[in-house]
Amino acid sequence: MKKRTRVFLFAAAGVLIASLATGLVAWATRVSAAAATDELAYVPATALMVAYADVRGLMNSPFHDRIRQLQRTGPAAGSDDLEARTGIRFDTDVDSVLVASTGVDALQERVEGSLLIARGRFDAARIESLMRSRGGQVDQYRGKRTVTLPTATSDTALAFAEPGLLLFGPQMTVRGALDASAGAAAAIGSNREFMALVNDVSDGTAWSVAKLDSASGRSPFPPAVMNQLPPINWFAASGRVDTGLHGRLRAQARDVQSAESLRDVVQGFLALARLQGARDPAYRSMLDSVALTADGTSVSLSFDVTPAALDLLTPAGPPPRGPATPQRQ
Amino acid sequence: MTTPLLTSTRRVFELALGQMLWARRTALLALAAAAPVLLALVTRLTLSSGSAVVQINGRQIGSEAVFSTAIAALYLRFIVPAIGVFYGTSLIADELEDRTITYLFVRPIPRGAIVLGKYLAYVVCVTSVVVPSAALVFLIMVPFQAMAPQFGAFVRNLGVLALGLAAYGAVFLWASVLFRRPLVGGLLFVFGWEQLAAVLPGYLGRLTIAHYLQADTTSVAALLTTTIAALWLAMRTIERREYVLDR
Repeated sequence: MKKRTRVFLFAAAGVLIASLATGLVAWATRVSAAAATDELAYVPATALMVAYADVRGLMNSPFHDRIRQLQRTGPAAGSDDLEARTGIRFDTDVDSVLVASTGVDALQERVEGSLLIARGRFDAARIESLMRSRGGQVDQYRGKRTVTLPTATSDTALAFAEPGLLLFGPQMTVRGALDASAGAAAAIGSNREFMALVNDVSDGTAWSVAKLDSASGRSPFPPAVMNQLPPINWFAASGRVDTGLHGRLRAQARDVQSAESLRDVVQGFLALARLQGARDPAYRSMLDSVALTADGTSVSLSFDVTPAALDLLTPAGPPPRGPATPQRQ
Repeated sequence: MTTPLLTSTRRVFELALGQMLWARRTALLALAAAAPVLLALVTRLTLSSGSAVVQINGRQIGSEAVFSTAIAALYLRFIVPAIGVFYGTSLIADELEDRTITYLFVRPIPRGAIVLGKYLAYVVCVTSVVVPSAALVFLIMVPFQAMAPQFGAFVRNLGVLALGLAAYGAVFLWASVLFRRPLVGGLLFVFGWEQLAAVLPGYLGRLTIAHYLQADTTSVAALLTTTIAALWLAMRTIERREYVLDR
């Protein structure tokens, strides 16, 4: 083999190895970052759906300001409920929130209920005092202070798991989370398939992973919804928020044929949406950003909501140009 | 007395690889490999500056999506089949056309070794150009912080590219052994039949190589089977066939 041939082959191998090494470093860095997500240690292995949101990142984003302009509504009903029961103000006290659900069984009954894990700045004494005034009972479970509020359907509990980390949900679910954290029960981290999908989406400002396989007799969504879906094993969604929203939805179908069917269904909906939104530049620009790809059993859909599209969606139009508004702390 | 198959294959491989890499045809290969890299550079610079957006078929796409589109639309649909047909059909047909096959046949080596050695040289030559080109497009188009979720698909895509090049090369190598001028038929197969079958309803798509350019078990098995079968048929055909050279 001539020298120049050898040099060429080494150069080609070098480019390939450099690219693979760069990708591997990016992947490994991301895996360790996802593994460091302390909240996941509290999620039991039985969870079928996990959703996470970087509340601070969302609240401080220019995208959120635009959405507030667009909606002109108050805080969501869910946050009102949390504030009424615990005194926690969602938009100021919470930095990040993770919700884990064990799903519903065939009779549409929640198996254990949803667990909410919130990280932020909480006044434990004030929260405990408020809950006690509403009939809450304070006790200890696995060395953590918990406050349980008896309700008609099930007891709701709040646990101070770590400084700045709260667990909230049905008492059994909160105890299950503390069991998982203490190692007395398997945590979601032991589910490699689930964690692989979490690692795949956890770089987003908000993300969610759901297992839709009905082998366990449970599903994260009601059977009426599940019956309308093609055979999907896993569903993952992530969104990155800055001045706009960059979203990615990914479904893992049971087989290649199911993936093709799903892609066709989504394509059909997109075609319909394009037909309906063809005359509206705001919707058209959003629809133009939609990219649908299928790779084996995986179907992905990515989309962008650009600042320009948001300007068009905002009734008042684009915000006036002028001096920069002070950043929220 | 003939030399064992593997030793002969190695000799043919070394000879053919040198010829192939520094041949005029390689200019086409270099162009095919460089075009997506240049396109990626321009796209990335344009997207980074925010001066423009990239639209394909009317869809506005980000830099990560450009990489997926480049792999699907440029590499798998065009570059891989085109390189497969141009290189694969020339492996033996050029020797027949130039009447240089005689020099190989009079050597004390099995004829199958000629096919195998040339085929392996083709695989090394084209993968060493196309696969790093796709890897460069990945490096250019996908920002570091967005690489992690795409890394798995990237590695799978590189594998599919290599398997696709191997499969197309093997099939057209067999055509090159069977027919005197296989290029026209090869082009018709790649840019006629494969494109048509992809849009026809039913199972006709399965009678193409393009259908199996996917990273799932069935497709990988189909590509490997096609490659091995075509290579075996090419070796068998050249061992048995009498070639009459034009004067």
